[in-house]
This record gives sequence, C-alpha cells and structure tokens, in this order.
Amino acid sequence: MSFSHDSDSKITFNTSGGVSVTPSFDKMNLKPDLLRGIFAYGYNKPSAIQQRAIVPICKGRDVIAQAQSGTGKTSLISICALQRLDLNSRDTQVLILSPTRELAVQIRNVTSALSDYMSANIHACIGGTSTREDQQKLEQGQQIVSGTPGRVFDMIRRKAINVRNIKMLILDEADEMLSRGFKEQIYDVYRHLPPGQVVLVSATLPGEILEMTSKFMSDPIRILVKRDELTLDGIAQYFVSVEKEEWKFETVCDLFDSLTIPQSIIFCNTKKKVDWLTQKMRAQNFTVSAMHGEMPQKERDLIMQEFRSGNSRILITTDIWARGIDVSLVSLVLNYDLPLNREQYLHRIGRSGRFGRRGMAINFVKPDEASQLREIEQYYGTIISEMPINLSDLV
Amino acid sequence: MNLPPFGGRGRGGRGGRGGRGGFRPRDRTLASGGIVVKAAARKEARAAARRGGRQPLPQAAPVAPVRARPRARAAFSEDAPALAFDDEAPMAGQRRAPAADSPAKRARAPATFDWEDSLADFEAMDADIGSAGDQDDGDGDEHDPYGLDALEAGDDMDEEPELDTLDDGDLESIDAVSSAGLAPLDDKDALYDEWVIRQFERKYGGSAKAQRRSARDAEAGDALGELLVGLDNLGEESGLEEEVDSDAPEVESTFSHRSRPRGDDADSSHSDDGPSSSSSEEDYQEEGGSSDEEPGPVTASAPAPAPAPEAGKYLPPAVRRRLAAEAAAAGQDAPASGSGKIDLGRLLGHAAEQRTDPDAEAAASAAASLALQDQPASPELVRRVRGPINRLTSSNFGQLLPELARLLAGGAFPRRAVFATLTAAVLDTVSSASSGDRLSSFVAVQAAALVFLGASWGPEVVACATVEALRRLRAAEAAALLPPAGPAAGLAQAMQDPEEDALVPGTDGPRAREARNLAVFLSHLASFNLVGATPDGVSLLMDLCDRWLAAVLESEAFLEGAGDSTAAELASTRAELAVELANVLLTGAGFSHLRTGAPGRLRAFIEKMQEAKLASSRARFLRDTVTAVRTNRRRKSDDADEELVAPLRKVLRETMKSAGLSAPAPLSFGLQDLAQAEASGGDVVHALARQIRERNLALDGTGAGAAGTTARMAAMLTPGRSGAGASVDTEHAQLLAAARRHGMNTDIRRAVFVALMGAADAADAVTRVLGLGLRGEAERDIVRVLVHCCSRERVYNPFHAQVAQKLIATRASHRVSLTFTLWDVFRSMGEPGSQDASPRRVLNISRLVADLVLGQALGLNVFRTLPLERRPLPTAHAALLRDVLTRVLPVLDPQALVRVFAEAVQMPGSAGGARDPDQEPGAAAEALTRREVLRHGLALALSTLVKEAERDLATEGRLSERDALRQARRVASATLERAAWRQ
Repeated sequence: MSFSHDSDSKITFNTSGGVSVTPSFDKMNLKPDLLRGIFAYGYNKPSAIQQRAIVPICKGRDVIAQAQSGTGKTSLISICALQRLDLNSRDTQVLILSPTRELAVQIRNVTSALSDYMSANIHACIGGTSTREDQQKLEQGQQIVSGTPGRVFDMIRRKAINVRNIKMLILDEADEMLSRGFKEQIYDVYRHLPPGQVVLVSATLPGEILEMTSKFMSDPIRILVKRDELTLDGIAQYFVSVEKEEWKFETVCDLFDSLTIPQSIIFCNTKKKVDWLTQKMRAQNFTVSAMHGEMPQKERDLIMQEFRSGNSRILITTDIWARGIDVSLVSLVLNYDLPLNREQYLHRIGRSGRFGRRGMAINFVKPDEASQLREIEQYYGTIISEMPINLSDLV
Repeated sequence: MNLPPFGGRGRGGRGGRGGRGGFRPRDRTLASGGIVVKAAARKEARAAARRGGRQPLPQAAPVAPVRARPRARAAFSEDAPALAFDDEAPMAGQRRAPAADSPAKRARAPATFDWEDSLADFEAMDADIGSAGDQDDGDGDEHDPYGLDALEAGDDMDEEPELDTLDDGDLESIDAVSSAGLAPLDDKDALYDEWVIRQFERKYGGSAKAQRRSARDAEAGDALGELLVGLDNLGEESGLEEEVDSDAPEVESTFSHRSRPRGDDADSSHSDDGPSSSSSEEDYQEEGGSSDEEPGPVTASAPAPAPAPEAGKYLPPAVRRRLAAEAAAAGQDAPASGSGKIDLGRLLGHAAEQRTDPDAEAAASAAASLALQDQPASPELVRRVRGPINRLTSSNFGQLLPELARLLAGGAFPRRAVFATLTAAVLDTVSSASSGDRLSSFVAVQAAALVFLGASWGPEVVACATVEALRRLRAAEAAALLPPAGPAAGLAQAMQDPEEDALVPGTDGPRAREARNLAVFLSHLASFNLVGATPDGVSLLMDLCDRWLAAVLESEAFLEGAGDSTAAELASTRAELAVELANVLLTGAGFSHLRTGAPGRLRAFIEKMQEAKLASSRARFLRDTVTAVRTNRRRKSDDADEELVAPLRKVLRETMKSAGLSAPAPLSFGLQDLAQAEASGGDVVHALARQIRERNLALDGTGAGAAGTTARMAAMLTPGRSGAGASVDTEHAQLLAAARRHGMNTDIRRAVFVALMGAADAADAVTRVLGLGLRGEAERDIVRVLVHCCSRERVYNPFHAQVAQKLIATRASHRVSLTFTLWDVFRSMGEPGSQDASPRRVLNISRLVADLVLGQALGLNVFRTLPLERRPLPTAHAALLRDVLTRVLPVLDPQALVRVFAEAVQMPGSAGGARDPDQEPGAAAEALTRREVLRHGLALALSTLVKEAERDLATEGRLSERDALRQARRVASATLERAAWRQ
C-alpha cells in the first residue's frame, strides 16, 4: 500500500487533548522484531493516524480512532495487536472484530506479514469455513484472532476460544458493523470478555456508536483523522481539441508515440466505452488493464496490484468513488471523455500530495464541451491550457 | 555446451550451390596426370574470367533483408591472418619435438605459427572458420562496410567444386605425379602433401582478396573490439553521420534544457487570425476511421525533416492530415504558417489574459541534455523509439523488440541518434516509474530491452545507457540530500536548488525515488549480465556502494557533533537513503554475481558497513538484510522480487533465441574509468570504450575480460602470470588471439586450445590439458578442440594423433567423445559444399584416423555411421575410406591387420590368436602385391562396415538386401583366411 506520508502534514484534527505525535516508528519503542517486520513489509514512516494512535493504544488506553480507508488503519490495528502481545503465553490475547470476511482475512494477512520476524500465530475466524476445522485451529492456541462477530461469538460459546487472557478487543469499522445489525453479537462477545482494553476504529462516529462506546469503554481517547483533500495545484493540465469522437483514439496512439509515459490512467464515462477502448488498444500492442465501478472491490484490488507491478502500462477505467486510485502512481491521467461534473474532475485528476510525483493531465475536448471545460477551470481557479507541441520535456 | 559441428557451418545455407546442379558428371580422362592438369587448367580459366570483370554469380544468394552477419566476423575477416599450421617456420622459443620413435611418422612439434607470412589463402579456404561459434551482432547495416560478403560468397562458390575431381582416378594421379619425376621425395606422403599444397596455393595463393584482407590491420575481434570497430567505422559507415557531427555542438535538441513553450507560444497563437475553423464548413471526410497505424501518408512523411513546427500547439493527427491536405491543395508553403488552426483558446474567449502558472511550469524534472553529443533526434525517430518503449511489458516483449531493433536496419537514422533517443526514452521511463520498491518488474523490463538491443546493435548502446544512468543517478543523489559536502551544507545547497521537491526530507521525495529507481535499473543491468566485473576488482556496482558507504560514514561523523537539531535529522535521513540505495543495488544484482565479480571488495564493504552505527532503525534493518544476504540467509521477500523477474528472463531468452542473437559480453569498468573518460573531453562513450579495451588487453590479451574462469584456466588465459619470459608471454597472447579467431568462444575451449598448441610435445600437451582439471561436458571439449586443430592444419601433424592416443590411454571416455566428434565431422563432410569436405581437411582427418587405427586407439568400426548405402558415396567419404585403408592395409603386418579387422568384425575368437606366433609378420604382406591388398582390404572393410548396415537394414525390415550382403561377408572372410595363412 503505497502511501504518500507528506500529504498528512496538511490534515486538521479535532482530537482530545494530550495526544502527541511521534513522527517515526523508532520513537514508539516498539519491539525490535516488530520494527524489523514493519520495515520488511515496506513501511518506512508512520501515517498520520498511526503517529497519533499507536502510542496511546500500546500504553493500554481505550482509544476511538476515526479514519477512512486508505489512511493506514489496517496496519495500525496489526501493529498495536502485535505490540501488546505477550509472546511466551500461547493463549488468545487480542480479539479483532470486522464487519466483513474479506476485511478480517486482510487484517490477518497484514498482521502475519508484519510478524515475519516474530513467532506469533494469528487466525482468521470467519463464517463460511468448516467450524470443526476452525475449532481445531483455535485449540492449537491462537494468540490473535481476527474474525466476524457471528463466528467469533459461536466459538466463544463452544469454548473454542479461551477468553480468560484476552486483554484487548479491537472493533474495526464499528459504524458499518452496527449498520449490519451486529449490535447484539458485539454486546454478547463483550460480555464474555474479561475487563480489558477496547479500541474502536471507525470511519464515521454516528450517535449510536458514541452512545455504545460509553457503555464499555472507560474514558476513551478520541483521535480523528480526515482524508486529505485532493488538490489540483502542481499538476500540469492540458486540453486537446478534437472535432470528432473518432479522432480520439488516433490521438491517444499519437500521444503514446511522442511522449515518455511510464504508466497512465485513461478515464471514460461509460463501461461500454472502457471495454471498446481496451480491446482497440490491445490490438495496437498496448498492454492494458480495464476496471469499472461495478467490479467487486477484491477484483479491483487485483487489477490495481497487477497495474502497480508493471505488468500493464495503461489502466482504463470509469469513475471509481468508493476507494480512490492512488493517482500519484502514474505520470499521465487522460480524460478520454470529459467528466460529467466538476467533482468528478477533481477525483480523477486531483493528487493528494504537494510532493506527490508531479503529474500531467490531458483532456480530450469536443467543441460542444468547451464551455464545460471553462466552467471547471473557473470553479477550481486552475489553468487548463492547450497542449504545446514539444511536450516531451514536460512529462 | 553445443559446440557447432566442426569444420564450420554446413553450407546448407549456401543453397546457392544447388543451382550448380550438384556434382558434375565424372569426366573420365586418361589415368595419367590428365586430371590434375585438366583441373588446374579449368581453375586458371575461371580465375582469369573473374579477374576480367565481375562474373555474375550464377546463383546470387538472395541477401536477407536483415543480414545477421557476424560482427565478429567482420572484425575477424579484416583480421590478422588466421592461425597458420605450418611447420616450416618454427616460432621463437618453440623447441622442435624430439623425433618420436613411432615407426612410420616423425612426430613434429605442434603447429608452429608463422604470423607474418599470412596464410590468407588458408583462411580464404575456410572463409568462416570462426563464424560457426560467433554470433553476428546483427550489425544490420545493409551495405557491408568491407564488401566481404559478396566476395567471399563468390570465391567460395568457385573453390568448392574442386573436390569433384577427386575421384577414382585421383589416386592414380598421385602416382603419376610421383612418377613424373617431380622433386624426388623420400616417402609418398610428403609427396602427397606437396601435391595438396601446390593445389591450394595455385588455387588461392595469388587471389586479390587474400592480399587485400591481409593488408587490413584491425585487432582480433572481441566484444570490446567490436565496440571500437563499431565506433571507428562510424563515420565511414553512414555518410549522414559526417554532416551531423560537424554541426555546431550546441544543437538545440528537443531533450535539451526545458524550453518554456507556454509563455511565448501563447501570444503567437493569439496573433493568428486564421479563418475561423468551425468544423461544420469543412467537408472533411474521415479517412477510413481510425487508421492510426501511420497518420495519413500526406503529413507523416514530410519530405525533408520539416523545420520543427514553431513551438505552437499540439495538433491531433487528423488535424495535421487535413492541414497538410489544405496546404497541398492550395499549393501554399509548409503548414507551419499556422493558418486555419483550430484555436479553441479563442473559442473559450481566452483572448486577453494568458497567465503563465509557475506551478504548472515546474511540472517536470529538467531533462538535462544527454552527456553524449546531442544528436538532433528527428521527430520520426522519437516516435519510432518512444512508441514501443511506452508499450513495452514482458507480455509483448517478443513483438516489440525485433521491430525496435529494425530501426538501425534501414540506415535511415544515424546510429548515435538512435542510441541517444533510446537511452533517453528508457531512462525517462525508469526515473519517473511510480514505485521505487523492487516489487515491480517495471524497471527490469527496460533493462531486459537493453539486453536484446545490446545483442542486436552492439555493446555501444549498453555503454550509452549505463553512462547516462550513472550521470542521472549522481544528479538525483545530489538533489535528494546526498551532497558530498556534508549534510549542513547539503541543507543550504538544497535551499537554493531550483527544484522545490529537493527540499523533501526523508526518502520519499521524487528525487530520492528517482535515485532508487536508477539503482534498481543498474542492479538489473548487472543481473542481466550487461555490466560485469573483472577478477582483479574493477566493478561498477562496488564503486557505487563505496560511494554510498562514504556518504554514510560522513553523516555518522557529523551526527556525533550535532545534537538533536534538524541537521542531525537530515544526516540520519541521508545515511538511511545511502544504505537503502546500497541495499537495493546489492540485493537486486544478486549476490552470486557480485561474489564472483569482486569478492574482496564486497567483503570489505560489508565489514565496514557493519561497523557504522546507524541512527535510524530502518537503516539498520536495511543494512542487516544486506549482511544477511551475504551469509546467504535470504529472506522470503527478497525471493519474491526474483519471482517477478524470472518470467521476464525466460521471455528474454526465447526472444533472443528466435532472433538468433547471443547475449553481449558484459562491460566492466569502474567509476574512475568514467571520470577519466569524461575528463578527456570528446565523446564519453568512445573514451570509455578505449580505456576498457586497453585494460582488458593487458589483462588477458583478448580484450573481453575473462570473468568467471577457474583459477587454472585464468592462469592459462592471462599471459602476465605464466611466469615465463617475455617472449613466451607474447606467444601466449597470440595463442589466445588465435583461439578466438578459431571460434573458441568459451573460456574452456580457449584454455584447451592454448594448452594444446602451446605445448612442447605430445606428452607436455597431455599433462597441460589434464592439468586444467576439466570434468564431464567440459572434458569432451578437449577432444573436440584437438580434432578441430588437426583438421585445420595446413599439413597433417601426427602430434594430434599422439595426443589423442595418450588421452585415450588415460581415460576411456576420451575414446567415446573422439568417436562422436569424428562422426560429427563425417556427417558434415557428407553435406554438399561443406567446409569439412575440402580436400585438405579430408586428408588431415583421414590421416588422423589412420594413425589412431594403427595405434589401436580407434577401431575401423568408427566408419559404421557412414551412409554406405548411398550410391554414389559422397566424394569426401569415398576419399576418406580409401585414404585410411591405403594407409592401414599396406603398413600393417597380417597379424596387426587381422587384429584390426577382428576388432572391426567382432569375429568369435580372434583368428590372430590361433596363428603360429613365430610366423614372420612381414612375409605374408610381401606376397600380396600392393594392388591386391588394396582390393581385398577394401572389400573386407566394406563388408565389415556393411555388416553393421545389414544389421540396421534387418531391423528396418528391408530384407531383400540381406542376401547380397551375406555374399559380401563370405568373400571378406575368405580373403581374411587367405591373407592370414598364405605362406
């Protein structure tokens, strides 16, 4: 998960007092093996939420961290769980509840990756797997259990999970879990647990959650981390006037012959056009991966992974709202179709960091869309000029 | 290791001979020397005709569009004369071998080398001795700079048929020659040699081509030599090159410093008042939808390289086509006048304020002009390079790279322009690649592309790319807070650095990412073996690591002084980045590569790195991974990186194999070489190539750097260490050069060649060869080299037979590999027009086999693979059989004869055993006249061999031939009886 930390410096928080920022992993006096695992996994600096939440959590305080996806939440949970673990006792010590199976498995994977240099056993206890197998695994002694409330409560009832030594309960995406009606199970699980630390990580803090937390958290620290806004400054934006839709494809190929473009993203407005363009570009020897909004998140992640590993040079996609693509990955964003509204333009082109790799955006504009482009330009107060000829210096 | 069949390539490729209707019908002439005379006359007539004027080649072999003619060969063919095996002029310091006591032959010292009196004609006969092993670097230039191909092809064509005259009558002709009272020679063999030599001298001695070739004085061909050759004949190769170089050096190349287009062109675009271009008026027909392959013929192929359109607007291809059409229709001048351009800006009512936005300006890192002389890259060239580079991934490797390699074929673009453009495209892609982490095959694909292009264009392009990568790495390092002058100064310097993002602390800034990407690129260059290291410690990678180590130690020293100030923070970040770059470089390049390259330096580097007290734990972690890798405790994650690159290596191998290319030899140079090259001014790549060349020549005389050879072989290959006098060293160097010319393309073969040919006599040769300690596959090369040298001798030298006998005496496996090698030679003799079928080689091989049969090292059944059922027997095979048998039968006493045939016939209970032991061996032989012995022996031999064929036939179910064969065997056994018992 590539994360441009420098973007965080612009984030505003309303956090309860006394929360200090520790800028680097060194100063969080984490276990040396955990530290090595963190670096081996590819993190070199903590994200904003991690800088603030890790220290209090590791001290044992109850914490409510509000952070949307993509701000380093999962690794925050894994790091804290591993840090609080007592490696010589084999009993379950940390319990992590997540709303969906994928999320639980993802947390298990990240945690086991970070514990490369430590000998910790982590188990994903999720529905859909054979309960007997689950029980056997749990009986072997799993120090960290990450699962969905339903199956976890079932295991606790069957005494598969020995709750005596659990000292930490982490609720991930608590707002989503409530919206799925897991409230009773969470209560039940909580009732079986010995008194201990509770950490709640949630994207939003609706009223029920606040009301719920007062019941089982003692004097929680609140840490709020908002996603950084996207910005257009520092991005070279150009437009190319094409009179006819048919010209666009030829112009794309011409661009790819004249500029140096390591990787690029092409946005289209309709799924049909994404498929059409993908097929045509593959005919021209381009290696392309295609993605559109309705794809399940897992498949999208797969495609993104393939794109980032360099197996494909161009990503053709429609607008993706739920989880923004880390656009700073690529050097060129091409709006094959002009976005339908202003916000979409920002989400497509916007970069989350001033220090992110300076990129370039090119919009294909048909004469009738000219006024739309001007409107976007005025709304964001940015300059979208006609593309110059010797652009090769600018990419 | 599949050594190409000895005796040069089967000339299948030269199917051209087919046009000559195969072997000419035998012209039965008088048994007297007629044949010899007639053949010579015919030869003279043809030579005269050729000298008169270009005789149109009956079958001008169609020149394939891209002639992958071995560059090495070009260097080779203009080379000093091939190794001349001629025992007339022994070399200085070469003792003449003590006369061996073998009854028949005087064992001569191994071939002596007369370097000056070039046996160019010998080389002309074997036009492409070395070419079988070497691989052309696909120097695709259509016209061959030395005009060798046409000539050689032409000449060879004429010489081959000479063999046709060697038929039944020839043996008689040998007698005729002797009886004709030529210089009285003691034994027939010397006479035969004389005949052979006169034949060849008359045929090639005076040919113009031989004179011209020996006149040329280029060094022996080798990787770096090619580089120099490539560079030297640069001007000569493409005339265009001349004008380009002579242009003013400050040619404003599109890659030079970032021009500021937006400011000025903005005004110009408004000044135009071209006709309002609302599209409705134009009845512009869309040309066949999106024919994007080549934008319409009208505009793309602008005649002369059109003056770069003034820095105006980018026009979509469709618009460009239309404007050109308009210009052509109205007969106006070039469209650059900008009239009729669609000016959406005006549509949007931009007229007045055209603010230039500073932020957008700093969009890209300055693409500083290439260190190489700037070649004004024509837009067409840029398109044809950037297109494929922008599309390249491991999946479309196979289609894109050959297309890219063809860029040079047309000769449309000057070489250096192509190299500069490619280097810029590749390195731009690498430095702006998104993620610096190694978990992406993105950078590796670019390095792999370089391997392919290096193989097809020559090592020059690799040198260009490496030099440019190093230059950019140094710039990126400096910008990413690694200034040599210590962190405090670094901060100050970074302040005035125009690029704001240099200010970024830590290892996340774009310049740090660029440095990391370039380090990954260089590590892949090493893992793909484009950049190597020499045994005596010259290694580019280690130089870089030492530079980073120095940066770490420097910031360490600074840290003690500074407290917790920002400068200290900066210092630890700087150290962390340095350690990270070293980590990326070493793990990427693969430790095995480094351990063989410069083991000593690696150990020193890691020990020093251990001592450094690194502030940040991440730096410590990265350092520990480096040391862990050295002690081979590899982490799972490091192999993950290799898993990404492994499929790419496979694809690269396949693409290279299908294109018939072999990997280019690695360049090995250090940072000081680069510094000297840059200091010497002029073209960096030229100067660098020269420096590497001199060092390698001093090292081992072949100029290619013998990386990765065992100690003993290294000693054999490096003259400096042979401990003998200077004269021996020069001989050693010449031996190595000769080995290379003879296509000994691996270190093992070169070592064996030197061991054999540098020996004093057979015994010494055997001890030296066995001293090399070769095992398994490598051991088989000993015999292959031996047979190769024997067949290339100008006159047969029994030294080779003696060495073979001694080898077979030491290990039986040599006999097996000798048999297989001979079978290969027999097979290539059978191919029409093959080099092995030349009379001298047939002669040499037959005498080698004869000696070995007489020495009981080999049995006559070695001939069982000869296709005896073919009628007529290929001439070479016929000559071989007759020559061996004429030597074996008359010399051997019946007992030896029986033993020989017994072994061949595998008769139950060798008949010789039952004979009366004290029977005078020579008596029976005298009784038979020579002719009779010849006839019987031949019948017996044929039947013996046929017996094998018969067994095969039986198995193949062609029983009808069986009775005839049984009859032949009955005759053979009767003859044997009579020969053995005749009183």
